[in-house]
Amino acid sequence: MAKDLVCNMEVDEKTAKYKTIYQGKYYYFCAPGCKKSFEANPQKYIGGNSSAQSCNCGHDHC
Amino acid sequence: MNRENKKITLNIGGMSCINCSLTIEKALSKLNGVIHATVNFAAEKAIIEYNPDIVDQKTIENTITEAGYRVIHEKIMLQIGGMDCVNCAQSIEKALNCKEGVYYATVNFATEKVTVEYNSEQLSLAGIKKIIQDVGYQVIEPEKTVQDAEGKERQRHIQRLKILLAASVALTIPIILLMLFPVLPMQQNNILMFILATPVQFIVGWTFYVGAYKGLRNKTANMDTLIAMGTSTAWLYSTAVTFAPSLFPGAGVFFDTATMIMSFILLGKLLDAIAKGRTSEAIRKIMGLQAKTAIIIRNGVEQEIPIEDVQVGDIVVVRPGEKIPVDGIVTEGYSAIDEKVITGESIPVEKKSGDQVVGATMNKTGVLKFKATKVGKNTVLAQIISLVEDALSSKAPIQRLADIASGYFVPTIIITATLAALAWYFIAGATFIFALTVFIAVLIVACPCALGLATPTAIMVGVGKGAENGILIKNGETLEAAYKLQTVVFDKTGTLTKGEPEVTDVIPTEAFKEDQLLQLACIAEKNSEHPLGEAIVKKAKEKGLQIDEPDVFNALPGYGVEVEHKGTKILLGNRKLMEANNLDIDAFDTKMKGLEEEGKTAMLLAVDTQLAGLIAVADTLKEHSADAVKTLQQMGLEVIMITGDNQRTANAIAKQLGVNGVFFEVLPSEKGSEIKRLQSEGKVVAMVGDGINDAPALAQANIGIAVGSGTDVAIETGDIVLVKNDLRDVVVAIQLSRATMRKIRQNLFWAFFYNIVLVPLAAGAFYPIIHVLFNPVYAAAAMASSSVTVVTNASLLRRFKPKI
Repeated sequence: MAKDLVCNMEVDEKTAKYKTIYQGKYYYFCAPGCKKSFEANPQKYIGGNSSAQSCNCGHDHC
Repeated sequence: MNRENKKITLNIGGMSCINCSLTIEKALSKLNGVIHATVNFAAEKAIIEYNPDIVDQKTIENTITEAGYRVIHEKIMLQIGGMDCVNCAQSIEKALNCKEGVYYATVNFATEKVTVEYNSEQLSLAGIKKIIQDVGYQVIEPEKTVQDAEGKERQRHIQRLKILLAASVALTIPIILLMLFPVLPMQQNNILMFILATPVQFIVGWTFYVGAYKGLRNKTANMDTLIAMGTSTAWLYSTAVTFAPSLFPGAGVFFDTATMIMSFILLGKLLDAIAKGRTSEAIRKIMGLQAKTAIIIRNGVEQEIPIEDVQVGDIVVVRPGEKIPVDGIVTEGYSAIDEKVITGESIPVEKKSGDQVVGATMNKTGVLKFKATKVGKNTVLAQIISLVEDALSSKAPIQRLADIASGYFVPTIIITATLAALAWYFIAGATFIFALTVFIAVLIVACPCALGLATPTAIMVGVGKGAENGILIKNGETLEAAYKLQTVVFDKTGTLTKGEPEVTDVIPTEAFKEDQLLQLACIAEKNSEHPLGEAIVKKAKEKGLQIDEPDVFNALPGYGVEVEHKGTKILLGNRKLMEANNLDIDAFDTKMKGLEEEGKTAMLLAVDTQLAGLIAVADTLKEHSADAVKTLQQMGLEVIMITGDNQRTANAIAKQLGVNGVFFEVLPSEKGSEIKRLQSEGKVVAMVGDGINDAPALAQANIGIAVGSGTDVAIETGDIVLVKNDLRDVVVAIQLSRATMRKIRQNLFWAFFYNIVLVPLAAGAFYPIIHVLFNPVYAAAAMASSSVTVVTNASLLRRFKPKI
């Protein structure tokens, strides 16, 4: 399992619908909003992946 | 109260030759408050810039009238509805009379008609109707009476010349017969000829006296002065011989000379007038293109209204075979439209919802509904017309030479004629009749008109010919610059190239077919908004491939796209995307580098974990770019390409075109200074660009050529506007400009040459060698033919065919 760095949810990289590549590495997301947030400012999210980040993806399940 | 300077255009009548336009210009520039005045003899228009604080339009027009010419006023009669009382009539009158461009307006309450005299250059018929409607009344009947005063004036002029010529010839023939076969005794024979010749001299020839008088009043002399002096001399001498034969023992009369001169000159004027009409044919054709009415839908009902009443936002319906009335955007329907009148391109263009349509083009196949976006003066056609009119009023710099020469021309001729006659009589001891013949011949043979017509007629034909082919030449200076042109600079993206990427190579691995690879790529890019993706989708559509929707789509910025389709993963992107997925791309490395050297963007495609192939996309050359470049080079011009792209891409395109030089990595704002640099090397430079991004460079160049895209024309920028998106028109424009300039030079050469040879001949300078004196009748024939030759030579330009 991989972690959505934006909202800290667990996502399955095999079935994840939303992903992107940054610096040659894949990142997976639960929703398009998270992908968008990540792409807008990836450095903000890859700094630390333990603490939960504020989610502005606008989805209930986040 | 300081108001801005105003510029008005007036239609002028009564100009018989170039001197007249100079006379008006001179009179106007003397007027306090007039900043600038140019009069175009061929177009019969005056353009005056003035300060409205110091001088008004009325004074300007009076000055023209006092100089002996007419300002042509358009007159119209309209039927008014809704007038209940005399006061209504007064309010309409007041509203109209306050309006600029209206000379007078009177309303007849009884007949419910308004008569308006106005300047069609300042105010349109639609404008007048609007004023009336704004005051609260309806204009019932469409315009009825005096229309197209300009065309009518020309017709009337030709008609009058025909009558005068017929009368002149009818009286001249018996005079010639009486000269050859004197049936009566000498004195009676002479008196009979006097009776026949006098009406020719003073009735038919009245126009020359009037012209000469106008000149005198303005302290200038013109062609009419010369003719009036020449023929009067012949008539006076003959009359003296007739009635006082004892004073001139043994002398003969030459009434035939006076009348034949008159006939020949009238014939020349008639041919001139007809040929002048022909030179402006192309331009009048353009102006007559507009539709008269439009069918619009208002409140759900179709109604036919005059084109002047169509407003922005109206929904217009056009059926097959009808003209598009105004500019707009298609909202419904599908049709092919013949845009030849605007673009010069004869193949109809297909239009569907969202496409632009242009007024005056012809709807061929289907019913279209469109929303009007530009009406009245703002339509493309209206802009083209006003541009062409401005071009006609401009003068090529070379014309100044002719203007200066014609200013001194007539006085010089009168002095020459007098001195020659005196010299023959007193120094060479020739007979009185010999000296008199010399005097008359010199006056008659001299022709300032040919000088005056040389430039404007050629410009008229050249500009008209261009407009017919979608090439709008804006001024006379451009023609001259085109003649001296050495270097043509082309913008790359969007000018030489299509400006949008296109699939150029599809290279699959052995396991895939070409179409299969393209189809996969298309599925991957189906939802992409990237221009490269659009190019792939477009190509797949062209090939008629089935395009599936992917189940999952992910754009990977800077890498490519990744999609899932029926359980397979498709990757499409650059090397980095494949590396991120641990795919080996060595097999394609050389090919990719090769394509990139050609300036293309190469993308790799993988299905699941297998590399499937390579697709290359590039901004490709327009169909005719290479042709245009090659032809320009064959014409001896240096061709340079300018672009903001990197060296590799720039060189790749440059190599395909074979241009002489490339300027790469030039920012749009720097393009102008690159042009300036070329100019500082002493080159005359033309810049070809899209007219929007390249506007500063176009302005800097000696000739800015703006390339339009069919109907969306940036008419403001550039010295030449190409309506069609076809670079071969650059060649045509330069060739046409050069051909026009050649005509101007030929015309000026012949006009000068003619006078330089024939004036001394008429003065008898060659008599001691050839022992033949130039008969004044031949002088008249020569003079008549000289200006006809010039005008006809100019109209030969109508046969111009580009060589490409």
